[in-house]
Amino acid sequence: MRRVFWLFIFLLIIPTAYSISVGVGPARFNITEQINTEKMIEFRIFNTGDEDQYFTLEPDSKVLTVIKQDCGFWCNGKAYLVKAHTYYNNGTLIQIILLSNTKTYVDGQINIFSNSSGGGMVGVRGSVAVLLIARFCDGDVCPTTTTTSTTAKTTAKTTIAKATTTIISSQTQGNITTTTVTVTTTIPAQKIITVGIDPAKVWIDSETPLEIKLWNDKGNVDAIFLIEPDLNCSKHMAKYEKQVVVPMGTTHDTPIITIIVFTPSKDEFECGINFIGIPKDAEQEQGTITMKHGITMRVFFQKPKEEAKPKFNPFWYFVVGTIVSIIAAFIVLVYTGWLQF
Amino acid sequence: MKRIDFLAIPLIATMLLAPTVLADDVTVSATVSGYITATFNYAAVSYGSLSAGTSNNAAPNQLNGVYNVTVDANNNYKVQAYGLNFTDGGGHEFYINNLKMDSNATAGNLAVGSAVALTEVAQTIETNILPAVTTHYHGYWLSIPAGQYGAAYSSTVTETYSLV
Repeated sequence: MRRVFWLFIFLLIIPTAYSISVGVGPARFNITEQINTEKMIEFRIFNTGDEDQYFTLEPDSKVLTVIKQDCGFWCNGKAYLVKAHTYYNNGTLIQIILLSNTKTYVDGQINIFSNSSGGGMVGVRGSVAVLLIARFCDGDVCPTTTTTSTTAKTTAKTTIAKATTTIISSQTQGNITTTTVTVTTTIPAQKIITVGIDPAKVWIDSETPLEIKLWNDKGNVDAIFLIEPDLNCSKHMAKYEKQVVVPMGTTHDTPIITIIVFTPSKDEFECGINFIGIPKDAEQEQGTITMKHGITMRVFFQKPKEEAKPKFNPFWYFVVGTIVSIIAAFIVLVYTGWLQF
Repeated sequence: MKRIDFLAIPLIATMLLAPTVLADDVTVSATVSGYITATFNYAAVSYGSLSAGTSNNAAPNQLNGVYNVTVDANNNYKVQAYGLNFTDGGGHEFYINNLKMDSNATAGNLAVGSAVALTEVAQTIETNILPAVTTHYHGYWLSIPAGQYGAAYSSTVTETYSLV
């Protein structure tokens, strides 16, 4: 009986068993664009267990140098409550600001720890982690992982590096010489183009070559305009250039002229011709969403006009009108008896 | 007296009819062609990592106005857009209608509530925009279907301006 009593007491003092299951999503940030302004990354911590739980975020030493300590977002020791029975789409949203005024390449992680550790002789802190791979630039000057002095490609917004500078410095201490190689890359400005067309709306009723003005006045690079008619328009375009180079600095008054020869249609309908602008001699910038920008020229096909009737000289209108009037008056007067011979 | 009638009446009739045949109006007409010019200040939207099963993820920094186009036209105009389905190049894809787009003259007013889901045919994002030099800010919201295979997906969106 005494043994049963002590067993009962023992069961009372054992804490009720509960479960915590921590997860994070997304768990990896591989930022391909170069970071030269403050940038926010977001992820959610979730807990599919039965109990609400507090978690803290502990960046490793690499990541710690590039994230902003702002307790509104993250700061050392800040605890985040993560509700039980949450999942990747409704867990606690974590926002972290990446710094802009630094120049470094980071490949590190942010560990996420539960604030409660297991009991016993050795406390075990289970964690998950968010991986961060990013390149931070100071203005236009970015670090690169390459150590060659040739141009480096990047998938960031400004596609191709124009110039790369390699600095090699040596330091000797005792009989040990340390050589440091620093590679900096100068990134050209963002490539901007303008797509300008006139006329942007035309009516076609005969086979007439149509002159179209194209310009690129505010662009900082030359542009190629790709002329892409829709199916209806293409059936009635006898001749056109599929692409036209439009230099930067061309304006509405100093345009590039391209000619499209339309063939008339017996039916009336509307169609469109896209003028898609892309920078000349530059890679198309890639991203999750790659943009194709342009202007659509609206084309209205009308039934061909009837041939114009030959014009008469007004003098002959007068002569014919006078003769007809005299004859008509003569007939009227004779029949009414006003005129008697 | 009869001779006078014989001459006078046709003459009066001629005077009455002559102006009708001489009234040959000259119509002067001129058509001012419509032009439109757009300066595009971005060429891609990079999202980074997103979780499957999340809805309406806003494009990074869009409230700061990083995706913008400056348009000048001499007539009312509209903006349309269409896109291709997202694909990873390895046989996995999800529909372009998971991407919504909005356009507004103020970046801070971009809202998913007024955004239009894109398809593979042109959708009108905004129309009857008055002719003035205007900068249009664009916003994008991307949803990832639940259970979507984990990979790097991309799409191409074509956006065009035209007179209405």
